[in-house]
Amino acid sequence: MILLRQAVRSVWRSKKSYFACVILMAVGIAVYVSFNLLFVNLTAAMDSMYSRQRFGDGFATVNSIPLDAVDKAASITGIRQLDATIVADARVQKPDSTRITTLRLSSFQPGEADRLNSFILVEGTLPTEDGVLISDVFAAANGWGVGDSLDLVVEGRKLTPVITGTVQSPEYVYAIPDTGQMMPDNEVFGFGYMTAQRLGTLTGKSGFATNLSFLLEDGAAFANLKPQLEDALAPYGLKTLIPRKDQPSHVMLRQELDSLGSMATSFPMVFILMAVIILYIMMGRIIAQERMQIGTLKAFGFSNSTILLHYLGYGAITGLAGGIAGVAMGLMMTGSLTNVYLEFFSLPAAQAAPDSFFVMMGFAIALGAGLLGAFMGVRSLLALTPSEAMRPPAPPAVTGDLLGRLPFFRGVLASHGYMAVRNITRNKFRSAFVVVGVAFSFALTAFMASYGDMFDALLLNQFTKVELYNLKISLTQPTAYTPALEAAHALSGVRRTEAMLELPVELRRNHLKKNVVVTAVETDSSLYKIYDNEGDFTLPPPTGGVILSSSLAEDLQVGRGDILMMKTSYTYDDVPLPVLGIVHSNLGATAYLRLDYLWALLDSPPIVTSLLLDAENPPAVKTALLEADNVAAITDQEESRKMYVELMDSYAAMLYMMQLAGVGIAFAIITNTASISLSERKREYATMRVLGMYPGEIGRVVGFEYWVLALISVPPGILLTRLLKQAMAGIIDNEIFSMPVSTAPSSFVVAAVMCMAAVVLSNWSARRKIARFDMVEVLKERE
Amino acid sequence: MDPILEIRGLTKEYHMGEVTVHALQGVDLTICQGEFIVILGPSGSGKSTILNIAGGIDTPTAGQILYRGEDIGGYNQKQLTGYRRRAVGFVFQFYNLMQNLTALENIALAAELSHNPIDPAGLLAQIDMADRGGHFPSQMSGGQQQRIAIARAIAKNPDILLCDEPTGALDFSTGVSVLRLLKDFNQTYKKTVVIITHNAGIGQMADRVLFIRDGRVADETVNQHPIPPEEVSW
Repeated sequence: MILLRQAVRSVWRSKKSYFACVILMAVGIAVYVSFNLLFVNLTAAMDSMYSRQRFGDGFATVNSIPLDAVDKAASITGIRQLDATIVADARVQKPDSTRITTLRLSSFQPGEADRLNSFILVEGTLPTEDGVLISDVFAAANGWGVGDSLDLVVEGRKLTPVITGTVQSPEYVYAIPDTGQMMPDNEVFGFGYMTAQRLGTLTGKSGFATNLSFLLEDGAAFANLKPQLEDALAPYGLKTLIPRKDQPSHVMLRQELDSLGSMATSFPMVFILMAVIILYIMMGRIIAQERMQIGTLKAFGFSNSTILLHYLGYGAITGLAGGIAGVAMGLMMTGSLTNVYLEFFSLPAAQAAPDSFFVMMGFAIALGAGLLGAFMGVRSLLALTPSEAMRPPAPPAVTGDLLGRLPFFRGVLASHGYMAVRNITRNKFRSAFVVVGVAFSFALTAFMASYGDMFDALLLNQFTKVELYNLKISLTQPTAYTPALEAAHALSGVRRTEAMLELPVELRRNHLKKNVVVTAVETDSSLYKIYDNEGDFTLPPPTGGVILSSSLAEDLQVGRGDILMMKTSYTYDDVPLPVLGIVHSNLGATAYLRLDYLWALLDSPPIVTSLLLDAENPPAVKTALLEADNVAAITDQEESRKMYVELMDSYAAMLYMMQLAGVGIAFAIITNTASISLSERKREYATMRVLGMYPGEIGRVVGFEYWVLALISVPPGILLTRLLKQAMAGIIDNEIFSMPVSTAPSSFVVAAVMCMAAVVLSNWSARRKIARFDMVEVLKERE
Repeated sequence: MDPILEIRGLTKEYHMGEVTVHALQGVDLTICQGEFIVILGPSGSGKSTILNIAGGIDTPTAGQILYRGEDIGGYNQKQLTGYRRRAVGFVFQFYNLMQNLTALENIALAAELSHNPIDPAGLLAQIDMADRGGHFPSQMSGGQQQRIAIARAIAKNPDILLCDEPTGALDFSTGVSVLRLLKDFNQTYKKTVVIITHNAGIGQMADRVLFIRDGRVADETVNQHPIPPEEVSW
């Protein structure tokens, strides 16, 4: 009991260091608890939605397939259930908007149970003949509610259905029209449902379907069934056939969950490791200070285990405090983090009760880390005999003197420089810890700062180097080249028009296959460039072959000169496609061809799927095209750019917070180690004060030490930044975009400035402590 | 001889909770240029307090401390640091050397603070430790460390050397050699040396011996014939 009282007093005396330790521990535990709970919540929400709504294992789109042919496909062995729907894009006319708004309508059979990809009715009722269901986020973004009516144009026909309800769907958890778009824009794209009868009439496809989805039998694999499905669907104009893992919404959701899952373990461990090391150093100091007392206790007859338990108590107090604060913070964060995720992912709010496993694990990790740090710090005392313990420790043996071996340094440094350098070399472990800690902070700050660079590289390059048009008109269906180009050119104020053909294909080499959308551009294209973001150069569209993005080339394991086989819905046989070049692109798996070459390969008349415009007055062009029924969407580059900039701005606060956290960690580490070495060298610094040195001059000795350590931390910091980015790029590497690994020098400058700020701050705090030393008191203490 | 340090009516009180300790109760004392003074007194008599205040590491409650006619009693911390830097050299009982500096570097550290320092290498030779310049404190005996500590105090070329029990941790013969060094400094450079000790034997080598008791100068004797350190016995 008496020992406990003394432990509490001792902790109180070093409260700032323990506080820093508890904070690091708490941050680690909070991230651990909240990320894991979030991961578990979202995964559970996804799984439960997928299973209850019977989310398909595979998806196919065709031009048009009669329902009896669907039944034939459904009878393929290995397919448990196959459902067919009509999917059609409707234009939503919004009087005050120049943005083309698309509602992707799917058909449903009222009263039919166990359909695949069934929707969840969030609000309202199922529609009758004249009604429509729309997604809840689309309704919210546009300010529509149940009972409002929409002005729609479907296949050139105008109609005004009433919104009878809002829905969520497993196919649109992340509501993007296709993988070409990275962020949902709920104002201009949404999905909805109409009865099959109504949609069939509107599209003229009664008795037919355009989209298929299927569930597999247990043990059946998509890859094995694919050839049979292709054979069955090819006659009906098979456009795409993908497994669940490539479904656009699922790709993004899985992606996010994967990165969350890996961050949930790696991220907190770094903080907890820092806390363990700080605790270890502090315990080492306490043992040194209380050595005499430990000797006395041993001489009194206290056993090693009693004394060990006493000192482990320090670790337990710290661990428990960090655990309690961390778990509390983590539980509080989980709610708001979930809400952030639900902004992007439309999942039924699955706010399950906090999983007690992670709460208990949070406590256990904190307690374990506290005990580990303490044990590492105190284990040396166990071997001491009481008489040894009561004597001051033997002075450390002098082992090799770096300065003695490097005469150059002797020339440059004054006495206080020698002291600093020897303080570093004689406390190797502590110095290494500072270097590791500062390098970590540096990397964290640089990584966060480079998020901006990354988006610049990813998006601004896209706007300034690749997509040089200001409007892109996506057509509802492939259209003849010349009339399309002429119509676009006739629009007022259009300076230049180019055509583009984006075609979903399957590329194959040996056993490796990849479904991608290839992009074909004009021979002399000046509005769309094939750009290499690592080399910062553009390539002309290839003649007689294809240029692949590096990630696609990697997936298919091909290099320049290899020949790929391309399968499309246009040709019966696969066509050979020589690889003429490879470019580094952030836009995931893409392939570039020349329009005329692709037409020749497809043996098709000149057709295009989109038009690129350089227009003087984009809003006027958009207004002129609002009624055009063969226009599926218009992308306004200025608007897209603004959207991404806004998105970046909304991230900015979080990025700044993380950068501040980086600086905070550097500050905590430097200040803690500095305060430990200050207390160890108090006598020396007091002597220097007596010799007539000003606090600033002594501060320079301490400061010099940390400047040197901070400088040493920069190269490993740069390396660590790269590793972090590689790890992140490994997680975020999908069909849609890949992350650049390089970091702009400006991010390193930001990180360096932040770490310098941490050194300056902690030096200032050390200097204040030195100025407050009571020389008489310090020198009176026994050495 | 000119007075270098004049102490007038010096009092020092410490407040420890509700208890007030009167460490010094009106000390008057004049120390002249080139004098070798020994201050004797039992533990707690206040002799260390006089040394601390005279050396500018503590401040008086009342009274004047005139260094070359200027009252340092009213100095702020910055002025006191400047005073210690130019005027005073300290020698401690437990040496207080910088563990991360070699013998020569310890001396050089002090020399770097002075406008007219004494050459550290020369000093090292003078104390017969030229071959130990590259050694760290942990590689030296107590006597050797104290010699380095004295050389460090001298290197600044101060007017006054204040020594707090300089032989307290040493055996007799090592203690005598340390006293020899202090005497040499006093004679070679004509600088003032003040030693505080409870070892009455050391008083035999002083020009003047002051006895402190209960925070006052209780007695004062002038040695007409101070003996050399080698003849001192205790």
